[in-house]
Amino acid sequence: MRSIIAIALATFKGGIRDRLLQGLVFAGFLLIASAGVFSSFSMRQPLEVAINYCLSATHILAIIMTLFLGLNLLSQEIESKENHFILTQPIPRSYYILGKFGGLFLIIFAMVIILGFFSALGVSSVCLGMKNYNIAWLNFCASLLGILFSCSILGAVIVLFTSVATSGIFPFLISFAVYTAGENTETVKNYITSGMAGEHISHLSRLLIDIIYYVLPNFSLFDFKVYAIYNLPLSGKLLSVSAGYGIAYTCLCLFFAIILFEKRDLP
Amino acid sequence: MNIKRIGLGLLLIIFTGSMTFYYPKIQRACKPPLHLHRLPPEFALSVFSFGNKELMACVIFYNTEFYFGEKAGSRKEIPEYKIIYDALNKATDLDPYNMDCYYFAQGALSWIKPAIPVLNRLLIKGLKHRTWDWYLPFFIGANYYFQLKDPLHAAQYMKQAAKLNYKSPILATLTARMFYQGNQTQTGILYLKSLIAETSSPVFKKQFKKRLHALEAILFLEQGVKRYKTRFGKTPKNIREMLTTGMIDNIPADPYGGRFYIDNDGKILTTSKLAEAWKKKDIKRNDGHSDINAKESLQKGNPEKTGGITQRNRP
Repeated sequence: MRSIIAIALATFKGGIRDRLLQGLVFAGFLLIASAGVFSSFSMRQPLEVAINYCLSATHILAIIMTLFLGLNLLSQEIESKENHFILTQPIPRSYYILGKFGGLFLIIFAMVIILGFFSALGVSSVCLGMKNYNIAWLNFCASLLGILFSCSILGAVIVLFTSVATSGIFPFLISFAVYTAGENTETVKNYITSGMAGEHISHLSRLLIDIIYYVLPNFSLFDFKVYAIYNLPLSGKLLSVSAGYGIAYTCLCLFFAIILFEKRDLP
Repeated sequence: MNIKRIGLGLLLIIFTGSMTFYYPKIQRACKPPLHLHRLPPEFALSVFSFGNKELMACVIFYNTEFYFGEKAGSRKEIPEYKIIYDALNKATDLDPYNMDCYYFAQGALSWIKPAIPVLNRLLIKGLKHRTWDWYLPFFIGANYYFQLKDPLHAAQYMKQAAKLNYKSPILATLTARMFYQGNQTQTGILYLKSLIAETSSPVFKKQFKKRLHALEAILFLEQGVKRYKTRFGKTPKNIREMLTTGMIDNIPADPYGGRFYIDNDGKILTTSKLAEAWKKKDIKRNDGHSDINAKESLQKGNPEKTGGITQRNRP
């Protein structure tokens, strides 16, 4: 356990050394400054637009950061053989994978907290001139939690593909493809089941879509933005099921990543 | 070497600065045609939003709003209403809670009679989601009353709006008037006043105020006709007759540039048909097909085809 924590902390420090925090603070200031401008064009709902903008920007930034950081931290290390120093120590390879993911998760967590804080400031700045407003801060936090789960699953997917890949570009492309597909499987499935797609979609395609729907992570499950934007009641059941699914899927990816990494021949 | 570099740098700064100063003038003078492009299907938009459908809806709305502002506000051209509706419909498919889209759709399309059925469908979609919002039943009610001439449906929606916003006396009055099918001009004035009080858009506010002035002028003349009928037992032949008999003290101007007249039934009409956007002199020919269609329709004397507002479907 100590080894895992040590690797996680080293990974976290490595990520921080990349001037990540400075970049995030800069992005945060941009968020605050631009939230007011962006929402000012709204005719009836500037506050809703500000929440929408801040949460969406946080989501987009967090996903992009996870993709690039995950690859930088793992893929490059494997490619440049920097990890040999750790792997030659008497610690199991599974600890290395878990430690690396732990570090990546810590970075993602810090990132979501920082961006979430700046988002909240951005939204509050829009409220300054308003008399009557009501922000669903709990839903806002639930939305940030959803972003954290999305990034956590994406991080685990990156670890999974990095553990088998020999080059850096493969895990990037495949992880991005998984993210894109995972974000849209719900939409595609709904489109097909609603009958809007017509009869020209073959049974084989429908079966394939069904398989993809159940195999790939469903990122739309973690999208609670609409609840935060319009102050809609958010079911605790949905939140707990999403959290359970997020944790289970992350663990499953790490499990396969460990198996594959243990079987891998490292030069 | 250093002096050469500084000189080159200064030259580049001066050149770029002068171009930056100069290009807006050329751009304004050339005025490339402004179009709102048709969007891909909602399914594709949803895929490309990468899980940020609400943001995508917001961006589509802003794009439509800016297009409308420039087209109708600055260029005085006729916007492509069908594409505006299409964009707003797709944006509300992505985010059915987006009030900006419904509000804008009502402001831009409610004056066009053929657009009312689709506009009402859009607003009903919003009503299904925004169950707490009194604006949506208020707009639907107004469309049913003024455009579709269906006071019963209108009153039902107004009642729903009044229930949601029970503090508003205007809504209660409007509901009562619609139930009893009272004076349409006065109802229209009341409706426009409530819109002016609530809107924050300068473009819409200007449009509403102009229409309000026109309706107030019509009401003034209608009252003159009523007085004339009471006194002489017949309808005046023309407006000037009311002036000479002292029923009115002046002939108000039509803010849309037309001329008021009395039809055979004693109703006050105007040659402008309260449809400013379709006036011949204001139509600037550009590459937009809508503008050309509008111009052709105008020449055929069919304001409804152009989306124009006739006296019969005011306000």
